Amino acid sequence: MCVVIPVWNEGKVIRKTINDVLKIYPFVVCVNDGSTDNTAAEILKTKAVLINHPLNMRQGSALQTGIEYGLQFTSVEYFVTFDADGQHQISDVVAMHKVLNKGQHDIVLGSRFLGKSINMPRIKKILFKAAVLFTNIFSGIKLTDTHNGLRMFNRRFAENLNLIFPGMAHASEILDKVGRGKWRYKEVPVTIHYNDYTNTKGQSVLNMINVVSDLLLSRVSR
Amino acid sequence: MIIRIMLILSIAVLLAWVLRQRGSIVGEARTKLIAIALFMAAVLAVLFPEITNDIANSVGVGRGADLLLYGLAVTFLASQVIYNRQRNDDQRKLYKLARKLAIIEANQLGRNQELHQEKS
Repeated sequence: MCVVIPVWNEGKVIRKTINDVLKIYPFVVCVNDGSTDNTAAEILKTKAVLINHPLNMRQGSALQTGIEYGLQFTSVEYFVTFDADGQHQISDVVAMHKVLNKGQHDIVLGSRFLGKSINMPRIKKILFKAAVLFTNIFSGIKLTDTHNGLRMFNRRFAENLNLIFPGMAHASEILDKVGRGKWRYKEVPVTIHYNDYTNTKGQSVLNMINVVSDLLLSRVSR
Repeated sequence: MIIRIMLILSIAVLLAWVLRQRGSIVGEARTKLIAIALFMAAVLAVLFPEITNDIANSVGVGRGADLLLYGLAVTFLASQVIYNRQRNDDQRKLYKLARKLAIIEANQLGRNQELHQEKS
């Protein structure tokens, strides 16, 4: 199991996030995406692998880097994408692991709308619901939450995943792959903890517009 | 009169630049032919402006200057789209390169190697 955590300027919280994951899964790969704070130093204080991007290439690129690093080790069967800001629970990863272990799915996706969202701001709820509607129409798969950072997939899916959108559109890009490649997917309820920290760092309204236009344009030109 | 000389001179300089370019650009010969054709059309338009007027009238535009402006607007937008696409392609290549570099560097770090040995 390889847990990939893309990190950009999360010096305040990253150490706690990593150590929570390490309690259960020992192979954690942190991709430091050109942070300008003490993120790299904080990661070095833990037992997580540190990869430094030479420049800021945004979250989708960072995920791809972490996955490609993990793929070098043939013993890695499953990959997890995990957010750095502490909004995900390691207990949810364990639950997802159990689902994948049954061997009937290639990818399991976390859903905050099947599970619990603690302190989720209303504007975010509306935005995420809109994103769900939009992505379901375009990717041809049915989900209740399309922009959840918590996912687990098997090695075969990881090998086929070649994320080319650098920014936040990777969420829709992954689902697009799932829909086109006829991968077996399942949603699992997860709990997302919102607090002042995640709310200031999370996705903004403007970011959502970027996500939508990236995807629409990718269909017109490539 | 002076404006005609200035216009023809400047497009001649541009043409010379295009023709002098060497390199491995695919379709280079085609690019040069298009540049020569454009140059000749431009010189004709400068020397005999009534030609552009006639063409404009034949497609339902009042003046040749207006037709040129419309063409310019479309060409400008097209070049922006092409430029953007090339920039995206370049960015993807750059990110791929940076990723390779980051992974090679991570593999060489003694700390990461030790971590992996501890686990296996």
